[in-house]
Amino acid sequence: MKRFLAKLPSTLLAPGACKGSAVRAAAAALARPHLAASCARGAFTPVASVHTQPAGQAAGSSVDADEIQRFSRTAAEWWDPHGQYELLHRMNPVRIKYVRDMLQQFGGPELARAEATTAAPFAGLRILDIGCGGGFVSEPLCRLGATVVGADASNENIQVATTHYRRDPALARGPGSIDYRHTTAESLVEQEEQFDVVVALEIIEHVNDPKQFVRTCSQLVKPEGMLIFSTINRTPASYLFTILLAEHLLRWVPVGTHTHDKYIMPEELELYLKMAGCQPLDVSGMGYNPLLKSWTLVSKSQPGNLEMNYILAARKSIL
Amino acid sequence: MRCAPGGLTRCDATSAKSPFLANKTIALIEAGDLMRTPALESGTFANRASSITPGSARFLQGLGVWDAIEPKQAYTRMVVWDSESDGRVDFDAYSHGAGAAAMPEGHGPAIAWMVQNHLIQHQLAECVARTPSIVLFNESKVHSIVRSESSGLPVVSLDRGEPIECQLLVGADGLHSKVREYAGIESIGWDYDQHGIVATLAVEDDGTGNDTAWQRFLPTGPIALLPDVQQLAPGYSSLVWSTKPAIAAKLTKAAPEVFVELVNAAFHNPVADIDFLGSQVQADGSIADGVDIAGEASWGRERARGQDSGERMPPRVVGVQPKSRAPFPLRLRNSTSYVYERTALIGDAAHTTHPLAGQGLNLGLADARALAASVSDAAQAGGDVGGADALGAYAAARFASGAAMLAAADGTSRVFGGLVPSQLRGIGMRLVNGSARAKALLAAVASA
Repeated sequence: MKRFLAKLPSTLLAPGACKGSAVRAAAAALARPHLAASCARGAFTPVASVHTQPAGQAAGSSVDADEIQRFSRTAAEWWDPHGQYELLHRMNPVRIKYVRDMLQQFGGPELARAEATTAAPFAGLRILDIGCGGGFVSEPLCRLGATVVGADASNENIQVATTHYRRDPALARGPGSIDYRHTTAESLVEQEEQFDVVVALEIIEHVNDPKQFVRTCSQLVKPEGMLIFSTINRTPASYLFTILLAEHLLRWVPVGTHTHDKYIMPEELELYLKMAGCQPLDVSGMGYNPLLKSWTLVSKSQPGNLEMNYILAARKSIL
Repeated sequence: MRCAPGGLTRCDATSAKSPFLANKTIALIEAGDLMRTPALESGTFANRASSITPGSARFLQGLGVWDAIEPKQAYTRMVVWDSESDGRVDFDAYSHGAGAAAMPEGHGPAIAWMVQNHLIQHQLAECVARTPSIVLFNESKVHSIVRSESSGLPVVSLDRGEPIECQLLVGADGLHSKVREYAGIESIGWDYDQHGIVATLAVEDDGTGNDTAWQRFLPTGPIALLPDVQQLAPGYSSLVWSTKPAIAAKLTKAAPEVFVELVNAAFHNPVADIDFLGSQVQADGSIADGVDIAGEASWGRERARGQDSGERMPPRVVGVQPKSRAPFPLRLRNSTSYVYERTALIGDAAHTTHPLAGQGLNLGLADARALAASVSDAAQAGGDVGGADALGAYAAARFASGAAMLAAADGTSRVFGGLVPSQLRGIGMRLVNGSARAKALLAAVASA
């Protein structure tokens, strides 16, 4: 591991990326079962736990208590198409199509299912949507046939997602289904859960220890299964657009939604994946057109295509 | 499940053959009998033909129905001219057309194809019958539409059977749309002080193969002659004549030979002659004693021959098919929105325009095409087919163009009505006619 890191300029490394926090977080989670369900991994934790949780413990894991509170407060707004999550809503089609494309392109025999069709390409696949929030990634995955587990550490988010899921009778008709769980990635590892695909979309920039988060996610994927991450690159451009412009000037999203230091460069994410025994397959930039109000993949030939938002697919190697 | 009550565009909205929608079921609700093919014998309203643009034809071809619609008559030229100025646009699909890529497969350049409506309906009904995912509720009247308290989905109750709850409700149910009423969407617009008259005419074979659409602006409204497909012969054309209601009433009642003379005069005589001839026809369609309509019309043409520009003119009309004349009021309506929660309006439910050149049908088909694409797109990304994303994309694609088309149709109509000085109209026409680019642009728009 050290050898890999030594090759990288130090600026590429996220703060806290190689401080052994992974081990500490896992140990903490195992040692304190009441916290395992609430904070050992992900970005999110139930508010109640946040309040009772000693500050020092959160700092040692990948959880960030402030992040959890921030998103729990706004739980009710998840499904407002013109609310603060409008940009994320609009990002959905390109992200879901990316998952489709990657599975089609790189899926391999391990992910091939006899029941899969064009209309329900994920039929027969068990997919984890980690940090599912209000559920707007889980629902499309379900419509496309997947057996989804939507996990979030915020109980409010799980309530919102569950309520919304029940509103649409078409989702209940199958072949897909969603099992929303107020839990964390670490707990799922502990329960020895295994998935064909793990998607972690717009979540890793909110965790304290991205390297450990990637490792935990990889542990949840079956050999030859797939991981999909999407996040924001740590560049001057991403600061300018996602924080200065989107938060402070245009107020598209609330001030404080993002922390620039926590953004992750594609090289870092690919490195974490390799360290966790996964093989990166593709990384593509995503661009937003404010006039059309739509996101698209940015052509790989375009210079700076990964400067801002990007999405990445990796395969879990046979260990 | 989606459902779609509707008119002629009804089948198209629902039979979009996207593999992304393969697991969706469509309930098609039809008040009439969709499977009934109107009788073909002469004397029925066989004059209901439409001019199908290349864009609509490609859509129908994608549904697998276009090639089965026979006969169809392509027209490759369109001549539009003005009775009060020397303005004239001569548009040729070969030199100014939209290009082969815009045409349906297997067809050369054309401005449009004349097709009889009942043939389109028949082929679409066949398409519905062979598509297992469409459940047809034939001869079923919509009793009520309500929003489900628990799910928020529209629930359609028919005059019999179980109510239908759907993810997306598509209103293709025409001018007095019940779906629009359910959605609380307002329809705004007005009736023109004009009526249209349609008729099937026998025309002299002028050796050109009847390949041209003719339209002349008169002070009272435009008169158009389109190649007809009904008789499989170059000797027949369809007439669409928009004029004042009082004149329309006379034209409908006039004896066939008088009607034929009036149509010829409307295409070939100076405006003063047309006014005079029209005034000789009584309200009941009879002719004032001692007036020789044919003689007067012919004399007027002789006198005007001196000013003949030598341009090609429409073929002479020699007869009108019995009972083919029908008048109808011209109206324009546009809904203030085309979408509502889990609801989309298409075709006449969304907008009603006058039937010049079959614009209403082409608009409706374009709506259906856009809605199918939006819904398919949403489904591909696992989206809700009745969700805000899918409907927002449909509204964005169609609302502006629907409104623009209506504004244009209304604009032309008002020009016809005499609000714009004919000299300006003439100048505009000369500008268009002189510019290959303007013609190419028109072609691209018209063939969409």
